[in-house]
Amino acid sequence: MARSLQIPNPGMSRRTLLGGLGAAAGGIALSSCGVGGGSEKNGENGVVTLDFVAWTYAMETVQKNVAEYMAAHPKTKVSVQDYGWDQYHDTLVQRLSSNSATDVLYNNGSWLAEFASAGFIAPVGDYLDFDKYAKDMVPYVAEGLVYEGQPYGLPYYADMASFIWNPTVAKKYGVDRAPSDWDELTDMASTMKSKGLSAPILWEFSQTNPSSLDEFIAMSMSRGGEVFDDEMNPVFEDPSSPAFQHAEFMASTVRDGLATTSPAEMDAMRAMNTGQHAFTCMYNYNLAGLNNKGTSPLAGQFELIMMPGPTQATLGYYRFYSLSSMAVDRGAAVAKGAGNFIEAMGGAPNGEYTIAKRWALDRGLGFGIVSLFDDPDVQKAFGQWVDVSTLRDQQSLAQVKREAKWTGIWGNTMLQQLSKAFAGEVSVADAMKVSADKARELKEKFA
Amino acid sequence: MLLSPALIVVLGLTLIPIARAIWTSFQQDSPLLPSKFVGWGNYSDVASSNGFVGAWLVTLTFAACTVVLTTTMALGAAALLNSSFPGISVVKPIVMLPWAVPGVIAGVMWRWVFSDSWGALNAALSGAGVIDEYVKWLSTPNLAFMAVVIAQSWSLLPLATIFILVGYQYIPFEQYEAARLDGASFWQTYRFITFPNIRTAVIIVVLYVALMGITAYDIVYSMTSGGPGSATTLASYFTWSISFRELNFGQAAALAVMMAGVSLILVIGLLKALPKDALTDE
Repeated sequence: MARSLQIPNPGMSRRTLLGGLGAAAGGIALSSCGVGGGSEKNGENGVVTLDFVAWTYAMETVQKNVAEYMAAHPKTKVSVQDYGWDQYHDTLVQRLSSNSATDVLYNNGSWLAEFASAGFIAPVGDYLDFDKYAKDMVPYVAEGLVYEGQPYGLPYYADMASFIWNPTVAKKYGVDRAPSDWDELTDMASTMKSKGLSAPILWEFSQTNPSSLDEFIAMSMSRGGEVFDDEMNPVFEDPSSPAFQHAEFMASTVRDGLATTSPAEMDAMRAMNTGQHAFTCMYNYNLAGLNNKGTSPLAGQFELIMMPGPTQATLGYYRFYSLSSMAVDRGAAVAKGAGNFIEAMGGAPNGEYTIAKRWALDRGLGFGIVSLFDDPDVQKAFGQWVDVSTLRDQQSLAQVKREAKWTGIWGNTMLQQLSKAFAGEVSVADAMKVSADKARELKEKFA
Repeated sequence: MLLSPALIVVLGLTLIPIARAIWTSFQQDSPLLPSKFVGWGNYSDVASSNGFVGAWLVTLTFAACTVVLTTTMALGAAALLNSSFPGISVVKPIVMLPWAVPGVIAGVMWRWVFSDSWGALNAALSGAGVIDEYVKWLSTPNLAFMAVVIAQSWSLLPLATIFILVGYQYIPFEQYEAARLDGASFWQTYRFITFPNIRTAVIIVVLYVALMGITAYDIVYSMTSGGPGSATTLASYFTWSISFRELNFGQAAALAVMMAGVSLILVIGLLKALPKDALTDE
């Protein structure tokens, strides 16, 4: 929506002046309401301008990827806007519901159904050959990217939640082996606490951090279960259920002073680097950061161990490049340009997964591409920060969580309730009951 | 006619959004559900929702604590800046510095101060031999609440100080001179000369800080994300959460209207409670 504001000249009448100011004010007001969505960038002279929204992570690499894309595609201009992970979902809802220009976005598998149902994102099948890539994707990623029969993007990365420990710190406080189950972890943490380590376990947890819920579910999976059954009925209010037991376990570690919480990923990384915690559960790529000698004071001390539950299972998850409905509404040229950009970022238009491989090499991000597992460069790079054999064993036990279009909304309640239970404000039983009631209410509402 | 540009701006940027919010508060408004009129349903759903009362209690306590702390600190800072001492030209910009720091940045900065295992405060206390084991400032409910009150007060201090400093600088010197000649004590001078002259500024500060406390969001959520538990969960978080996490714009609008109503009642109540001449020149 282009508008020009003309500066009145001395000979202009008062009526004209006031009219002009009124029009300008109206224009400002309309602009503030987001009328019109994306700006006028629609394929004039064959040039397409895309607005790409990402969460804040390694933005220098993102900018490099985008710059390389624009150099290879001179008629496409891509501007990048990033937001912190904790607020990303909420900011995206705000942007997309108010038609703030957004063409391509980072998305989370947990939000796919919600965003697709809300009409925020569009299928990509018309703009890139999804089936070609699906054949080389890890099965849960390929299946997860399809909603109601339509593919909604290509993977940015795929990873899992991992249990990480620092054997150097553990040994200093009297523990010389990794825990094999959750009870043993409690015993070990008690031993370490008695020898002066104030909080041996660190949980990355806050009611606004979506990773917290993933990690809780991952650890519940290691006890042998999920939070919903096949019919999306909540199963976690049953005291014998794995999720209930794990909530009790986490709450008890906080209550007994064996664990403390850190609200965000970067904070948890810093905390682990103080040497005041020996165990944590985080997204696996954080292990690459923890063992990075350039950024981590305790690099080399951190190790991946199998989830210490009876099944040793964990949560596998994926993030993906998504096409906004707004981009499609802006016309074929923009939608096609956005599709090409998504393919360059998440696919292999020239036969190589350049960007996915770069993320794996530079940052240790997992990938949803089967063929990259055999890439010698990737194997060598991963070997520098993780025991690859343990990684493969843990990956083989990764599973996805069950999702519906309302599970993102439910997750908000679940995190709030877990937060209250960990702080001792409510019992775990009450927290699980409130969360289960919310799940049933949402299931009925969105049926 | 001359007022029309201003009226259009006010209408476009204030009245229309308020009207829109009120209208939305009576609708089922979600991108996941069909729109429909629900009457007072959003208001009753929000009021009966889990944590609503608790969030308001936390919010009002938070606002009250920041009013007391900020106003006290601003009175002290303004008195200090109104005096003359070596280095005041350096102290003045330092006191004003928090004004230049955006709320989110301030929140992150204070998180770095209070963080449990790597925060600056624990490092300093430990270095000074005051503590053997680090204090869990942000993961202990009462301490986390205290931390966010301090951070909020710190960010509001500059403007509050300026308001009161302006009041100080309008006090006629002759009044102090007369008090001195009459043998008035420090307390008598403050009570009968200083405070009456800065009273209007103090009232404005109380109003300003109270309203900022009721609508606070950025600093608190950058520091604690509303936790631990619901210790720092404010009503503003409810609005944000219902709107953008639960995609329920109707209920969020209802909550926003309620929050605006409480703010309005507070302002009117405070103004009514004042002496008639409190906001006018005597």
